[in-house]
Order: sequence, then structure tokens, then C-alpha cells
Amino acid sequence: MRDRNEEDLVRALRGAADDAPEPVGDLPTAITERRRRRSHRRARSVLAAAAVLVVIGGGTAVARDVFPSGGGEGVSITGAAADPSSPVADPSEAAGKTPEVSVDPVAEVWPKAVSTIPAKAADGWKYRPITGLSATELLLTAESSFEKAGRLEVYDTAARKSTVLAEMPGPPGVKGYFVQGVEVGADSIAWWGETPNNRDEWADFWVVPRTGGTARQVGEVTGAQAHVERIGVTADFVFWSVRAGGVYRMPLTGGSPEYITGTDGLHLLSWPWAFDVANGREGEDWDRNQTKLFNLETGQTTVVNAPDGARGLRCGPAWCFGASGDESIVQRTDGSDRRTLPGLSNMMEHTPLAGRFAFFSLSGVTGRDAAGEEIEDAHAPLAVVYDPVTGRTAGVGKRNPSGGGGIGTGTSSSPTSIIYWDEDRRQVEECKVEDVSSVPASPRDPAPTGKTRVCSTTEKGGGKELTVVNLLAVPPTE
Amino acid sequence: MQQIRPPNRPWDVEFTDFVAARADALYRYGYVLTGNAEDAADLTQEALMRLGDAWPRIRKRDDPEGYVRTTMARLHISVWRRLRRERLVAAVPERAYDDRAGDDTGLWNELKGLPPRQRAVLVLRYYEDLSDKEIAEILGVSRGTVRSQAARALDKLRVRVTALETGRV
Repeated sequence: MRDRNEEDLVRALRGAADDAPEPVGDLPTAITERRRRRSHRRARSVLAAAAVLVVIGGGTAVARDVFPSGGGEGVSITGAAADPSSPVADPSEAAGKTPEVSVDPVAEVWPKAVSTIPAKAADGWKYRPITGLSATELLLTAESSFEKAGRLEVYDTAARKSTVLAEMPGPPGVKGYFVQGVEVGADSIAWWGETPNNRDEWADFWVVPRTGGTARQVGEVTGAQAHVERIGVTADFVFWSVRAGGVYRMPLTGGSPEYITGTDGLHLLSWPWAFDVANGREGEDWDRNQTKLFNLETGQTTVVNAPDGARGLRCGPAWCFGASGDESIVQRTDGSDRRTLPGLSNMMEHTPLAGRFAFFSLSGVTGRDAAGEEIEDAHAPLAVVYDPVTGRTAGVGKRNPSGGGGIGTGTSSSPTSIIYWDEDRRQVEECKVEDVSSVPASPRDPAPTGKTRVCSTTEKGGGKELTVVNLLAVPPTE
Repeated sequence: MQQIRPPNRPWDVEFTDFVAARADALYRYGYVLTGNAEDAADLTQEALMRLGDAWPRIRKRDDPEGYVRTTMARLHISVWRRLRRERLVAAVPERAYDDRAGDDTGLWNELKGLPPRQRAVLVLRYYEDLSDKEIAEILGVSRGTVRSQAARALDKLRVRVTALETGRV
């Protein structure tokens, strides 16, 4: 055997890669399938702060102007939360019919709740809304890079200006640290952070007075205690529930974490309230009904009265939302004021926003054309906020010309009061015809010839202003 | 009628584009790492699944391709660690699939006789063209270990180390 050198090794490896046998099955398809199958089980956002939701366009073809004169207006379609016996629109059958939801734009329904804020601070850091502090104050983080929160700011929607509340420095010496949920307490604002890109079971807690100042690290936790899900803050303690259930607390002055006896299986909703179903989009508890609501301050327990056939019922201190059959339902925790919500089915958040509102996406599909392609109304709002107190619905978000679109909710630990979007941002699918030879293929196959169509979807525009709906500005009974 | 379900994730769109564009190259890398098509497909799939989960934080902060290649290298050595006993039995170089075009040295087949970590070190060094420092970071070992593993592997394969070695950091 002749003498071998490193060049031979390089050649052997490259040659083998070039000659690799074709994999069994198509990898991209296999990945898509596997992700789809387990999306219910594992659809947890790795950064708890990643809260932009997306409504996938319902139309299989390009959306058309169903209401050419309706630009900017709400869709004039009727019957919201009205007669429970009225038939619910089935987009797959209702050729030419309109959805049975009456949705006016939020700017008409609750004009005081809508404001536009700059998308960036003066130094270029991007704003990410957290929640409303009051009817006219929005709590924001400013991010130096994607999801890297570095500063807490308060935006005054009346004065149209922002003030810095606190820097969010991160613990010294910790690499890859990211702030996660921010919680607004009566006197202070607390948050937790972790290092999501490594496998360390570690998290820490911070607190700053609500009036602003220098943020202070309360303490650090490790192991199962670091699987933080939601937090709460009082004058004396920071509280948190963990993903497996159970609530801990730590004094704001620091010290050891302490498990709160009797909280096995409980998850924080919004301090002092906790419930007995897993938070967020974890999935396993998806269809289970919440059975109780616990007040961890008073020890008081409220039993939820769920109707037969209800699924996924989630209650705040006053209102519950869930599903029954193909419809969404709303009721009070004791089962009173129960209604079905025809035409509203795809719930985007599972706990009531600001303790009161439900948030649904809207398909926008109004029927099918002669060729059987779904027709999507490009002017339909992307999503709908429903208020059980008044029964009103308000359209939010901006639909892409090609259907679907993106809309964000505030990233607070407790259910947020903020929904926001960028009016100017749109997703654009661009296709171009390329020579097949530019597409990678195995060198063992005969070289393909001809043209192929390659499409990709990109986001265009936007980045200047955010339209923000602060549900704290919706009058309590209006 | 749509059921209540988790919202679709915005990053899925771009993730799918990434997979469509890079799956082939990643599979080939997997093939060089593992030495067989079945393991390569498994490894690539698993690493891409993990990338998919991590996509929202990877995409804008890091380099997704680097992330997935690192995941593949780490998965490869961990899987091999677990299956080591069986694999060692089957590790005798097979001559049947020999003399492939471009490799008249038999090196490809002899690579199959190497322990996974040694193989990974060679693939990262000679296929991925990484420095020993980068390899150490990817595999989570010291630079000294990378050097000694590489030296042992090269010795076993009877590869003469030339001036290339001196330039390594």
C-alpha cells in the first residue's frame, strides 16, 4: 500500500460525500411531517418572549378583493355572538357566502385603546410591547438584537413619548442570557431570565420599583426549580410556577427558594390566581378543562362549572373561554352567562387577555370560486378581540394581500393587555424560473435539464411604527 | 371548521425554506460522519428537528447551518457512545464496497473501523476544514484531546501527517 497523506483523506471524504447513496425518502417532506405530527405535543416557544402569532392564509389561491369598496372598513358581515342556533359558516361548503361574524375595526370599536408607537427607540433598539400599565401607559422592552431585551421603557400614549424605566443588565459572567417574562406587580416590576441556548437548568429573577430605578437581581435557581413558567411579584416576594406544576417563592431581599405547600400541580395564571391546567401551548392539557381557580393570597378556591361537552375551558377570575363542538363558548366561572360564539373558533390565546377578552384568528375565507379555489377576503381583519361584558367584537391586524399575516401579543408573564402589529409589513411570495442545473442534485444521476419554478416567502416593508391595542383602555362596561 | 389549535409559527415558513435548500448538503455531511445512508438520514432528520425547535432563536442570532452541523457532530458521538459495543464488533472494514471512484486508497472503508470521536475529529478537520480549536468547541472536549484523537486516528489509518499539521491552532 502506498504512503497516504492528509490530501488523500480529504479526497476520500469529499468523494464519499459526493457519491453518498440517495437517502430513503425525501428529507424536507419527512421533517415537515414529523414537525406537523408532534406540533401539538411540543409547540412550546423556546424563548418565552417569542409571541408573534401568525394567521396562515386560508385561501389556496391568491386572495381577492371580495369587497372592492371596503378598503380599511370592517367587513360588513353580521351575526356575532348572537343567536346560538344560527348556522355557523363552513368555509369548505359555503360557496359565495360570507362568514357570520360582524367585525368592525378596533379603531372604531374602541378608539381610545388604539395608538401607534415608534417601532424603534432613538438609538435604534427595537421595541417589543409587554403589557399595559394603565389606559395610557405601555410597558416595552427595547432590544439590542433579536429578543435580547436590554432596557425597560414606558410609552405614554397621550404624550406620545417614551421614558426609560430601568436597564436590564443581565447577571455578570453569564453568557447567552435572555430576559424572559416580565411581570407587573402593584409596587414593582419583576422579570426572570435564563440561558435558553444551553442545557443548563438555571434561571434568575430581577426586580425594579414600578417608578423606575436600578434593577436588582433577587436570586438564582437551578434544577427543576429553574423550569420557570410564569411569575408573580408582591411587596415581599417573587413567586413562580414551574412547567411540571407547583409554585415557589423567594424573598425580594434574596435567600433560598421555598416551595409553597399545597400547590402541587398548580400553575400561575396571574398573581394571586393559579389554576390546575398547564400554561401556554404545551399541549398535553390542551383539551382538558380547568376545574378550579385558586387565590394563593387568601386560600380561596373557586370551582369552575363546565358544561357537558366543553373542551379546553380556561378561566380568569371572572370569565372563561373554551370550545364545545366546533364553536367557541364563553361563560362566567359559575357557568352563568353562557354563550356560543358563532364564526369564532380559532382561539389564539387560551387565557383571557387582561382577564376579560378572548382573541381569535379569522380565516377570511368567504367561499369558493368556480374552480373550487377558496376565496379569501383581503380586507377581512386578521384576528378578532371579543369582549364578553358588552358582546362586542373588534377586528385587529392587517391581512397580507396574499392572505394571512402576523400579529403579536405582549410578552408579559401574566396574560397581556396588548395586541400589536405592523401595518406596513407584509409577506410576499416571490417565484422565479431557474435553470434546473442550478438546483443541487446527486452527481450519480443524469444531469437534469429544463426550467423549474423556485418560490420563497419574505417579509417586506414595515419596521417604522407599531399599531398597539391596549385593552386596559377599553371602558369597563362600554 | 377549524378546531382550537396552537397557532402556526411564523418562523416555520423560513425554516422550511432552509431545510429545502440545505437538506441535501447536510445529509452528505451526515453520510461522511456516520459512514452509512441510514444513519446519515436519521442524524440529519434529528438535527433538523432540533433546529426547527430552536429556529426562532437561532435564525437571527446565529448561523443555522453551523448550529445544525454542530448538533449532528454531537449527536453522532453520543449515539455512537451508546451503541459502541455492537459497532465495535461490526467494525472490521468490509472490502465489498471498496475501490470507489476517487478513493483508490481504501481510506473510506477503513474510516469505519475508527471510534466515533476519532472519526468525528477527522471529519471536522478534513471535511469541514475546521481548526482544532473550533473542533474542541463543537465536541465539547479540550484542544489537547482533539489533537491526541486526531493523531491516534491518523496513525491507525497510516496517514502521514505533512506540513499541514504545523499550521493548526
